[in-house]
Amino acid sequence: MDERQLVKDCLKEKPEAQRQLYELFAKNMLGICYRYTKSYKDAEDVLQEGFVKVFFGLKQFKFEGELGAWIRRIMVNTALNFLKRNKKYRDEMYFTEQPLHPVADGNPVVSLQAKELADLIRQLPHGYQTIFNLHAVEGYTHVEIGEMLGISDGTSRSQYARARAILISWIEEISVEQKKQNYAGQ
Amino acid sequence: MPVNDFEKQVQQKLDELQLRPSPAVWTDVEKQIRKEKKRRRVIIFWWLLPLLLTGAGAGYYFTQVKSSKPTSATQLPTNQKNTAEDTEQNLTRKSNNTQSNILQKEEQQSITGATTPSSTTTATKDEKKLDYQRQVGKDPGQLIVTSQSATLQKKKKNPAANTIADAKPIQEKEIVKVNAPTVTNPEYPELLTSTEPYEKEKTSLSVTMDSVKVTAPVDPPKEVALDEPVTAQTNNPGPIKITRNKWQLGVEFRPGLSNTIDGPLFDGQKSMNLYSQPNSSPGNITSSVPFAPPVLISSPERGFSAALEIFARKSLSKRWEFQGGLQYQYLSTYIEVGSHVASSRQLNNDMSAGIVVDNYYNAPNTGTGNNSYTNQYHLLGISASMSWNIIYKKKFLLSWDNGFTYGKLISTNALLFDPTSRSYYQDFNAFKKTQFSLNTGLTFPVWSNKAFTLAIHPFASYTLSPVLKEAERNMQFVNYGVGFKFLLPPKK
Repeated sequence: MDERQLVKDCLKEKPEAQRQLYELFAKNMLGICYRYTKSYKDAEDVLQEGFVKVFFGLKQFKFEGELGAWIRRIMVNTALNFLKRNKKYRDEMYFTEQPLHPVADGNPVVSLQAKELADLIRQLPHGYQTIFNLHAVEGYTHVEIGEMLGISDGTSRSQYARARAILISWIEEISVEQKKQNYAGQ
Repeated sequence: MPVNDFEKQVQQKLDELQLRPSPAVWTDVEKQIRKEKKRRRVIIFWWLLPLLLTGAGAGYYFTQVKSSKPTSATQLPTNQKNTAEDTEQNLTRKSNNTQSNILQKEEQQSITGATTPSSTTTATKDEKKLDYQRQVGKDPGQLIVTSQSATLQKKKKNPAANTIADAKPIQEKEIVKVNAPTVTNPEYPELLTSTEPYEKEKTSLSVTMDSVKVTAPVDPPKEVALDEPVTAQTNNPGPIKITRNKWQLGVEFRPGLSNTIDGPLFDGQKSMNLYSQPNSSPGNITSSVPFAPPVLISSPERGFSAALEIFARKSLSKRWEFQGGLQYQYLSTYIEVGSHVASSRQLNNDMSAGIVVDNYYNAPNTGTGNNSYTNQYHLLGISASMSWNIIYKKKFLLSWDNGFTYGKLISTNALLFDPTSRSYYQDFNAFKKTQFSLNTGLTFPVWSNKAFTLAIHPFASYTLSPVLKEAERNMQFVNYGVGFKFLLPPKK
């Protein structure tokens, strides 16, 4: 069944179509939710909330873009709302503008698996994690991120630089460890 | 390696990330979808309820009007009406100055069975009595003995059958003033009963025939003034004077609070940002994204509201009232904006295509320098409501009002947000002018004098129409507070 037909059936509130749409996108979307949260349960909560919004907002999808991209946007927005709403995230998500240091210019080869990389991102502080996801993965500009989070674009930029630097250092450490292990294994 | 390679690698890697959600997620999603569907149905029903009540009230009213016409035409005193009805059933005996002797004789005859001819002409005599009663009208000394005489007449041949049970129907008859029947048996003159009026409670009516004495309790005279016209005013002199079929004018002032909320589609949460619209999401957000990102724009906070209404109300029955009026309504919300800029700017978005504004506000910053801005809305409208008197007692009246308001937005200074330029601006044309709202509330009078009655009216109102013409986010006004109704005395 093509996406257009699937959407039409979902709009007719056919349970099997709704289930099919969910099955089609749930895995990818949980991956997104997973990156923004700190626990698997929270990720599933966001996924659930997001899909409820998807089904109720589906009539507003005009097939002007890809359905997957549209659902992804909803998931990201739902995740951000979740972070703002949830005390344990909100209290730790403070953003301060920090001086930019030339620490973020590394470009290591990322040899990690997707899940390992996502787990590393989740270990970043809440603010860094969010900004890194929005900029590096979703592709938002710092101005856009500033608007979304209610911060200045400079703050977003500096926070991202810090996040990137931390992440690169962790990736490099892991790479070194892997190399050592591989060497030892040989 | 180019600088962005790291980001590209991360993006590619994470796009591959797939995690299997637990089955409970879909179960919950499905449950919520169904629940939300039901909830929406309930909401629709809830708002249909006032209409149903209105319809039922109107139906009841018209039924009442039709059925009350013949009653109001006759308006006989109750005891007269009863007498007439009883007479038509040939069951009434009447004693007065001129007729008592005749009747007593007839009674004697009928009981003793002495005169057969009289029994054969009973119908004729009863007709005469009916005519007489109609002429005489209300007679304080009248005797109304129902059914027994006729019954006794029929059963006189079998005295044993005359039991107390036979006399019981007398108790069920409402007798206003009863003189004792003078029923004698020539064989036992000592058993002649008294002619004292039955004014004591549970006084017995003794009817003696042959050898059987039947004693039946008679209800005391009831003091209920049923012969007076039945009006709510007479029987329920509550603080609000309920006068059926008369219009009552009044003025209401309704201070309260107002806000804009998301529609039922969006879980009924308060709007994150009323003025961030579709297409406002920058970057790779498609135009069909229904949820604007929660950006720095502050949520609208509730503001002061007020309404002034001139109305006319009419009591349709003891329980139902109709009210219609004209009203001016002021609603407001607060938002936080940045600095004011007094220079022109061209804006281009879904709501305001190619508009040039003379001045605008910047988006608020995270730091200082922000201002609180009041979005003000002025509406004129007509309203109609039906009230149902839940409690209708002498000292307390409580009614539940449900109705609607059809309003026109006559002006507003509310700001819209242009995401491209990140500025707030005014555009009256972007707002939906016709606003249809549903209202509910309670009314209870608290004070009354000859000049007016004051009633308190806690109310809530929900606007069905969206605030903006092009809004994909279905946002509506909510308004609640406590109103003060001043009702003038009913028009005479």
